[in-house]
Order: sequence, then C-alpha cells, then structure tokens
Amino acid sequence: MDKRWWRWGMILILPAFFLAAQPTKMADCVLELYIPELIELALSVPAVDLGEPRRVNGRLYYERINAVQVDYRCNIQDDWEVRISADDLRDGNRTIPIARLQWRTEDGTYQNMPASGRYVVLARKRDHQPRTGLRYSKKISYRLELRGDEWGGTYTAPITYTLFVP
Amino acid sequence: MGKNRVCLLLLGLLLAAVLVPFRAQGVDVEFGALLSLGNSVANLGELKTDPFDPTLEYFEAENAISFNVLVLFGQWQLLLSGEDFVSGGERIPLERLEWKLQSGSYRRMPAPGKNQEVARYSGLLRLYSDYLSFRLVLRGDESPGRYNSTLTLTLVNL
Repeated sequence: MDKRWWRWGMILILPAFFLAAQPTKMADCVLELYIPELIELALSVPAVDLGEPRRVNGRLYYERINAVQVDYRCNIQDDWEVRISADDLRDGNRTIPIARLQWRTEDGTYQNMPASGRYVVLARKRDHQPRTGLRYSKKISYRLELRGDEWGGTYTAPITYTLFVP
Repeated sequence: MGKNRVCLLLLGLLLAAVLVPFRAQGVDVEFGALLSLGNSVANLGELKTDPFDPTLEYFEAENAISFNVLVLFGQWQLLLSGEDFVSGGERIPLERLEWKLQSGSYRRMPAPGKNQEVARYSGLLRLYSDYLSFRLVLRGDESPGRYNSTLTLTLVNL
C-alpha cells in the first residue's frame, strides 16, 4: 500500500513540479527603424526688394528688415555650417560691389557682405549644441547705403545660402 | 528493477516532458495557455510628417505585430516590456515609444525592465488574437542610423 502511494505520488508530483517551475511564457520581437540623414535649407522668399531709399542725417540708404527667413536643419554629426555668399549688384554693365551691402540677423548688428567669391558663416553646428539636429531659423535684414556716385538703374544680385557639410 | 517500476518511471518522464514549457519560433507553450507571435521582426517604416504640424515627425506601424493567446484554462495576464532603441552608441529611450492594441489608443511604453499590462485573458479553450501597433514621435535631434529594440511579451498565470 505504501509503495503504491509512493509511485502514484511521484507520477503526480513530478509534472506538478514542472508546472509550477515556470509560471510565465515569453515571446520576443524586434522593432527596427531607420532615421535618415536630414540636410534641409529653405528660404521664406525667393526674391527681396529693398524698396524705396530713405534719407537719414543726409545719408541715403535702402533697408529691408527681416527680409528673408532662413530655415535650416542638419542631423549629421559632422561640423556643418550655413554660409552666405553673393555676387555684386548689377544693372547691365554697372555694378555696385556686394561688400557694400550689409546684413544682420534679428539679434545681431549689421556687417558687410563678403566680397564676391567669398562667404561668411551664418550659423554652425556648435551654435546649437546639444540639440544640433533640430530645425532652426534666422531672419535676415539687408541694408545698402548709397555714396551718391552710383548710376541710376535697377540692380540685382544673387545671394546664396549654403548648408555646407564637410 | 521490475517491469512495473520501469513503466511507471517512463510514464512519469513522459508526462514531465509533455508538460515542460518549450519555446520555438516565437511560440511559447505551457500547460494552461499558449502564446504565439505572427512575426518576430517589425519595421516601423518611413519617417512621416504630420500634415497639420510639419515640425512633428514620427514613425508609425499599424498592426505591426500579430499575436495569439490560446487559453486552455485559468486566468492570464499579457505583459509588454522592452529595451531602448540602440544604434551604435546612439540611444532613443523606450519610454518615447507608444503602443496600442487594434481597438485601443496609444499608451507610452514603460522604462526598460518594467512591464506594462496589455490585456487579461481567461476561459476554457479560448483563442484570442490581436495586433500591436507602434508609434515613435521624434524630438528632431536624434542621430541618423538604424535603430533596434527588443520587445518582450510575457504571459503570466494569475
């Protein structure tokens, strides 16, 4: 009688042990995603008209406040920068050196544009640490003071914004 | 050793072997319930932009993972846990991932190592099927790359 109980006991206890040993069940899956490299640069307007000249303290100048908004974004870890370059103002054969055009950001002071073929840096990656991959904007104002010896005409100059990634 | 003892020993071992939990190919079986995944890898797809808010970028995969729970008997709780998204040295916290069942609304994932209840199941020989959808809204400053995260579904006997 004792042996029979022992046998049946083993038969029942052994499976019960395995049942109780791992009360959970699990299944794994992998989620994957790909974040692409993002290099974006956009201007709010394709052309800027400096409008009518103004005279202040005997000086004649054109000025357009917040003429263009530059939106830029780069999530690459290299030391990227946004550059401004331009060619001279021209009307046919007549030119006004582009270095006489001044520009500034909303919180900056006017500085001369670089000479044709050169560039200045508007923004760089390290300006936006640690969140360098976000989209940023800068509003640019332009100012051109006349000397008085310029020929009459409608002058235009291409101004180029470049998001440079080395 | 007598024949009876050998038979009893074999019977015991057979029963034990049948009742030992086993896992294979996304299926986890144990006496009382069965959990299976329809797929073990899910891609969150292309980066999307909210049409009403272009600054909002996100990944979303609807019904990305299908799963089945077969309840033989008893009450069971399905839990979800996971790890951070990792790409080399870059990391996106798991808490920024949202999940939902087919008929539910999005909820944030818990921190890695913590479980969140997905659903409760009970009954006698009942089959439950559902899908998990996922959404990950980016902050915009994440580094480019291919990120992976392992999620774990756990069925717990209540």
